[in-house]
Amino acid sequence: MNSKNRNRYIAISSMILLLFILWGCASQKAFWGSADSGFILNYRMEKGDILQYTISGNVNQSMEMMGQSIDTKTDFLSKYSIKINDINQQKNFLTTITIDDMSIKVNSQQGVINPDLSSIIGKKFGLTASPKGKELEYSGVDSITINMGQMAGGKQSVKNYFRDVFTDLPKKPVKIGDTWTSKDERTEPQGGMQVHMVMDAKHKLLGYEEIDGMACLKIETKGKGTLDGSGERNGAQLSFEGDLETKSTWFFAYKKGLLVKANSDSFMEATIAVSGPTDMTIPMTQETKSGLKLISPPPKK
Amino acid sequence: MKRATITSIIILIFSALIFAQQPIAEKEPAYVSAEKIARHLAFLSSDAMKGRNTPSPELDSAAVYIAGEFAGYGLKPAGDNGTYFQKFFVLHSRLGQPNAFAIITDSSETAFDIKQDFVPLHFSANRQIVAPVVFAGYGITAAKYNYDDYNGIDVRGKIVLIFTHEPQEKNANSVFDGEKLTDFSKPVNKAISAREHGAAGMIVVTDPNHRFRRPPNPWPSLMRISPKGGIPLTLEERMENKIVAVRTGKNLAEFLLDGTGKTMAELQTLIDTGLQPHSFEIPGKKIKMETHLNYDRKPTQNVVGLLEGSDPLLKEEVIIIGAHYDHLGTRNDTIIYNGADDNASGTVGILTVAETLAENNLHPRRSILFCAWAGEEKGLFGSRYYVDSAPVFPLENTVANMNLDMIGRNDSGKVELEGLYSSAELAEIINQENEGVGLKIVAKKSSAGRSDHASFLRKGVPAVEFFTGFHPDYHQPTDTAEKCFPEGIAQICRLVAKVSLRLAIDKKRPAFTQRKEN
Ligand SMILES: [Zn+2]
Ligand SMILES: [Zn+2]
Repeated sequence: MNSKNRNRYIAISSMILLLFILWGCASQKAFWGSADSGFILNYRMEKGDILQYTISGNVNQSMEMMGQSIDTKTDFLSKYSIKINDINQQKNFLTTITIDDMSIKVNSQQGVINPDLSSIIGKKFGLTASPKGKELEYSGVDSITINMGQMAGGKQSVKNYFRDVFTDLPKKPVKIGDTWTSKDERTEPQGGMQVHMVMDAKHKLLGYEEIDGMACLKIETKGKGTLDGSGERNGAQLSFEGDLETKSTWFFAYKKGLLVKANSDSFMEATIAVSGPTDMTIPMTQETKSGLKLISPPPKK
Repeated sequence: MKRATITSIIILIFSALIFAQQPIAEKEPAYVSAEKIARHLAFLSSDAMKGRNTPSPELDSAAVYIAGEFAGYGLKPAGDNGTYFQKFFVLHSRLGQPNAFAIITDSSETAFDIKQDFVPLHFSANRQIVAPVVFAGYGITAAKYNYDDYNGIDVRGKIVLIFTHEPQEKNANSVFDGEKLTDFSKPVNKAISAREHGAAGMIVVTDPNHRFRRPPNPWPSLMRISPKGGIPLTLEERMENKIVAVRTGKNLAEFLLDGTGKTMAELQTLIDTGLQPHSFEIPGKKIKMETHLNYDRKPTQNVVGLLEGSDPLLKEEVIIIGAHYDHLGTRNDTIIYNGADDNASGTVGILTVAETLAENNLHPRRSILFCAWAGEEKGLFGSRYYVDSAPVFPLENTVANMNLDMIGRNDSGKVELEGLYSSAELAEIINQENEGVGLKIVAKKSSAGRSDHASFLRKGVPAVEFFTGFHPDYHQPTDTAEKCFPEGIAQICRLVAKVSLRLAIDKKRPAFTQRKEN
């Protein structure tokens, strides 16, 4: 049956979906560079602090085949806690992340994929991060997987959803109105492909805003990037290329040294070439909207 | 004695007529054995068949095998020139050189980039044209919907700029078949229509309802990392006198409309709200565009055999029992996708039903056409070709289609049916005939795939797919014959044979119901 086409679309779309839930979140990750003497942004949690966040959003994906559109809409939601276990000599934070809640719902013309995530709720993994938000080391995360079902790409590591728990902060002090640029480049395995991303971003410190009683700096980030990947999936050779634009707004509680809120939109246009045993080229677009919010700040001292 | 003889002849005639009124399906025919089913299955899914790729010499061998069986049952050849083969062509297309696009005004010439701004459509002509541009809405002339984008404009020798898809696409109550896209939305049909109106070229731009900003790129050679394959395989469109046809991005289209005081979104809203054309010639601009494509054209074929109806009038109506006989071929010529369940099983199904109906002298009143489709795995090519270009019987005379796709894994007396919504009467007949067969009928759970019956549904023909479920071997090299259940296939074939006979006998034809969603 030709669910081959459709199912493969679903499989590929889910793969790309997951890819972009990741990159969508990644666009929240700051590409913050430098400015002259201004605010010095650092994470400043203390040992014993517990921060709880939610990330929610949606991904609208559209593929085209033989003049027909195949649309998929994914809603995702996760809630997680970061516990600061210790701060080491290099001032890095040794943390434990607990997945408090998580849901993913994929809606397509072919039906709804609603993977059962109950088994990963409550799971914990370790993460070491620098005061500037660099994620240095993960531990115990690879064994936590989400099963999207046979048609939607099987098992996916949950790591993709927690890759940007911390935000990269500018190394130099920044002042209101300052703009700076940054470049981010990484290669990561995704859905059977090695995906290479290059992202150029422009940042601007817009001003102050109070969020939940915390004095925050509002920062806007606009990014443009490319994604290229190739690999194999279900016996098919895949090549992927996409162009990505993102726009994010951030709120960082500079006194407390916490990320409080972030909203991010991204748009990607891409082509997937699939070869053997069937050849096809699938154009697609993907729009991602996501929001992150601190819901449970650490106890005031 | 003479009188008696005449009387007895009259009685004989009457009893023959009465007999003819009896549902023939009540006569239990001799069925094909599971052993024979297993033999067909083993042959069609053998390694020698190399996964029956479209097109391939192995698929051609499978076609010869199927035709040989049809001939053995006494089916009439219903293909080209008195054969069982209905030939069509598939194309591997590659981008040639040069491909260019420019907008010319009195004072300037602005060139646009391939990939970023435009891409040739796969059926474009290999030539350069320079001509003025006419915005022609969706590029649709649809008398049946009382809609004509070409009304009041002269596009002869010009280039039409048109939207993808069709008016009121997102409107469930649209005259254009609700939210379902009609055949009018297809780019190739728009090109044919443009040519019939005398246009020299066609520019298709993503309508503002959709998110593509750039032209969706179908050409692997334009990708940054050149992929190993992905060369698009398409069904050759029956087009005489091709025109130059490109897909463009929104930037280019807005550039063209600049100065007309209208935007694409405004134009679409105007057209969609009033269902009236808002076509006009764009003043002061000409387009120079040129496309070059290279084709690798290969023949393949459907296999069609006819069991002719016994009724002089009803035999002009037909029931189509179909199954695709192609599969995925091989990977690097080493790993074979045997495709035993998908879809040697369905192919064996049509052979089995054909043999049952032909060899029991059941003389159905309507005709029954057995079709083995090629190219399903590539995009329903065989059934698309049949319904769009080469129906053996007119589609309005086509009573129903039963499609057998993956019927090999029936080990528990269960079959999933897709398409029952297309005709309540057909569903009723299937349920009635199943009483003597005893299958557990369930609506297909995963509607992820639409197989060849979708081609018939698209044309308003009641159509149902028989299917025994997905499994981990689906589209894998492990879809092999020993995992199939010949007894289970036989059971499904009994049901299909009984339903076919009922459809061929009943006075009333099942009515078609348009599905609202999808
Ligand atoms: Zn199939
Ligand atoms: Zn298939």
